[in-house]
Amino acid sequence: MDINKINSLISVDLVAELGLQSLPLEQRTAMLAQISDIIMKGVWLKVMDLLTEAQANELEKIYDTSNPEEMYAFLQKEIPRFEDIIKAEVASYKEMMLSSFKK
Amino acid sequence: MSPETPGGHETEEVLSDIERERIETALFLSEGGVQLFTSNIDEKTKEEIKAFQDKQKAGEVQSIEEQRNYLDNIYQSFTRQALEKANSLCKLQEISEELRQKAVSRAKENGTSVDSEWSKLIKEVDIEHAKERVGGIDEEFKSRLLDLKQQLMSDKVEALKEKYEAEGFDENTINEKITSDILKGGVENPAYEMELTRMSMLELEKNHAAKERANKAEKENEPSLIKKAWSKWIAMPKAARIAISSTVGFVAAGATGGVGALGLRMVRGLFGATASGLIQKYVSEKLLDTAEKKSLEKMRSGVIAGGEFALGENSELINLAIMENFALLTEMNLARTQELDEEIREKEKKIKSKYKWARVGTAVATGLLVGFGTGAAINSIFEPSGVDSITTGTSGGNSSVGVPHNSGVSISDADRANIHVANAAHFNAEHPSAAPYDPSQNSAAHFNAEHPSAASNDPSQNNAAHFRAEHDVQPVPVGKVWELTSAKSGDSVWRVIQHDLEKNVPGFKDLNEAQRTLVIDHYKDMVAEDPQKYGLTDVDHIKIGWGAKELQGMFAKDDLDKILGQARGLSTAQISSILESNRIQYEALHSPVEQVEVIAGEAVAGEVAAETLIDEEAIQNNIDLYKASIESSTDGTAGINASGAEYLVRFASENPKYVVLHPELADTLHKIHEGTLNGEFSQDISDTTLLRYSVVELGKLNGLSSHDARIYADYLGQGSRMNHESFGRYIDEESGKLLTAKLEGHMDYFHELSQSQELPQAGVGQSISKWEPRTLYLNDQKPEIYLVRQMGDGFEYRGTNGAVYNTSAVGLKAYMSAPEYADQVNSAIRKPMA
Repeated sequence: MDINKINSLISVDLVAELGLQSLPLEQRTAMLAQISDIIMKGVWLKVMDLLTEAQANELEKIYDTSNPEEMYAFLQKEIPRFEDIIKAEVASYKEMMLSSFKK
Repeated sequence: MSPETPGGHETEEVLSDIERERIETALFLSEGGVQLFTSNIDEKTKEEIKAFQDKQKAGEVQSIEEQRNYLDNIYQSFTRQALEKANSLCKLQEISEELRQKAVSRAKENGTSVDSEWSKLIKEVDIEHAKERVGGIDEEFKSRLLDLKQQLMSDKVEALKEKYEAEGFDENTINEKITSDILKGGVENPAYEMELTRMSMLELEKNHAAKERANKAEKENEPSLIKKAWSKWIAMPKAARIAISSTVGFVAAGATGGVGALGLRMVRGLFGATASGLIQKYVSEKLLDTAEKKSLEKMRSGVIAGGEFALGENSELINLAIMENFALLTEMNLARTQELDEEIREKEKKIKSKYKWARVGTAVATGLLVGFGTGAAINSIFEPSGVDSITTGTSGGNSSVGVPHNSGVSISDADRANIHVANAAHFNAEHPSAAPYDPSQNSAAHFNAEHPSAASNDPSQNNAAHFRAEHDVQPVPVGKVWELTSAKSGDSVWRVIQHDLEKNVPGFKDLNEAQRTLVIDHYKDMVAEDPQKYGLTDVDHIKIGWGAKELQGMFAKDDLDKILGQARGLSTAQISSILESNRIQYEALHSPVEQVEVIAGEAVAGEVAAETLIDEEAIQNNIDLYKASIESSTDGTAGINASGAEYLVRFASENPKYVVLHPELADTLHKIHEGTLNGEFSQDISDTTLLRYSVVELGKLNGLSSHDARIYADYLGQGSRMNHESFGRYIDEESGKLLTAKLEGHMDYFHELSQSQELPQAGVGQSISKWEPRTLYLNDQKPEIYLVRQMGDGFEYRGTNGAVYNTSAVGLKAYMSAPEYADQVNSAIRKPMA
């Protein structure tokens, strides 16, 4: 997915597009959990691909002994455009949903 | 009217079985409050139906003609098929048959006609009983009625369609008219009718939409993902689909078989909570209006397709459309999550051979995503505006807050709560063989992630979901960074904790006094148990500025949820007990000034008279004595408190023109106050306050006055040390029951002692005696029982407020033997036990 498309999708109001603004609380929270889960997993898959063994071992040490800030700093330092990976995942998710709903 | 002839017996003098069954079905449904009339019935017919039913209720025997007319009228509303279905669904045939046989039997016995006996039986039928036999008008019954309702409505739509087509209306007009007729007409029991309508429409719409989408997906060779989702959806039992759509698609949340439990918890606790708050912005009136318009257009355009229903101009039904979209979304999420899970599983297998850290799984990513820099992107699902372009980059990590700082949205606690509940339900549904997923572990994982240096946060025993369901206090927000208080002059551990809770726990202030006390005590106890851990050497002495740093990590979410749950679950007795203790403390702090003056003088200065308190020099002496007492006290807070410090503080605060305490001293004394207040509660309630309360109540039950009962409890507990050790001798070890006779005997002994004129004496080699009850005559007051004891060379006496006063042997003797009150002493003896 190219950058322009990602940016374009990022700006899409998915909830409004799907007509889900007035979902009851229960449904809303369930949906949010699902979406978060999916995006997170997508990002993690990418991260797993990008880390070398040395990096992975280092990350494990950080995970065991330190805090999320350091993990984040580590990944941001070690993985180029780490945040863009996240955005790409979000964009990908939106695209999938929008295309499915339009059918 | 153009009724069909029921059973072809319209000319017979006796109703056929079929006619009777149908009439009974209609009556039964009517009696049971189930109004199944559809809309095309005219007013005259409605009135006739109602009149017949009223007569039937009144027990009037109605002619065959009237009954057949009723049936004809009913046929206009119910189709014959629908009535038969109702019979079948409601098992009314069985009931009817039983009644019929009974009627025949009675007719034989009484020499009457079957019809008249039948009419009588109908009156005698306990409708409630009948309903029970068919499942009642409960959920089960309702779900069976749903089938019936759908058939009725389908029939009706077809009839109306034919009717309007014959009248020459175009398709759109027909659709509008049908929708209007169905939704607005002929409803005598709107709530129930609407519920059935809602359920029917939901079901029909869903089936229709599902089939349509599946067909479309098939035709267009849609990705397997969608096909898989919809084939699953359609394959589900109807009941499951209804349950899913009405209770939300937990089933659709991701399965995470290959992802570690830690990862799962992190996902649920962190990510869900983060995202949940973001949607709030969209639940605005403006957007809702837009949504309704869109939904309305969509519904109108799809009205009546293939003989089934679409949704009309009704907000309730609009919600159904939204629900339907939600159902689709969840199904797609399910499919996508399964795909991702499979990918992760495969990848982890490979990684495991290379990296030992694969177990960390998604937890690492989750922690990162939630905490740092990913908020903007995630936000964009719900909030497109304000998100940085991908080319510009975004934030670096923004502390350890679960909610992205740039979201501008405050997460609803209810949303967070639901996320946990949803996650738990989902996990447990998806992993039936696994240990139940405890939503609190989200927060535990989150907490540990956010506070890696803190002690591990054990999430066991949390019942946060239950707590949320039943209590006003909002669940503690996941990921919320607490604003912790720094101690100011006059603060105590108790007060700092109280401020922290009030500031950070929504609804904490709304708890009642006992509940708040329990929660604050819980944390105060944590500090008291290990003050070094919290940067203190003594829980009663804190420095200005203490707290903000030292209490970081103390308020773990699961622990807080647990104690809040306990607080809300306090029994009446427990609440009373805590309030009783509070009252005692309150009394200790707010005794009459006159008494304070005397006590303060005596307590500290021994022979210093009360009135000298207004003398500045005497006051300073008192202060110095208190200071020395504080510095040299070996008995901790209790000893200092017993010296009467609290009275000096209170007196000073109420009489500033007489007593101006040095700020440092006042500060110290104030802390002692607070510490004392907490001290009463810091022990296990079941060991102290509750037991004391129980003993007080037992004393009252045995004829003691409130005052004497409290003194007796203190006697039993030897001051404030009421515990299982002191009370245990009155409990049967095996049965755990109270040994009433033994306790009563002890109360008798208590009264004997209370009338004694002997001074209590310490044992050989000891300087302190036990507390013993004595009747004292203090300052011309009414004689009352106090506890007295020898303390070194002197003596002490103790009232119900727990304050302890010094006196000499001579002084105590004098208090014990005021002759002018002898009569009152005798009459003050406890009343005989009932």
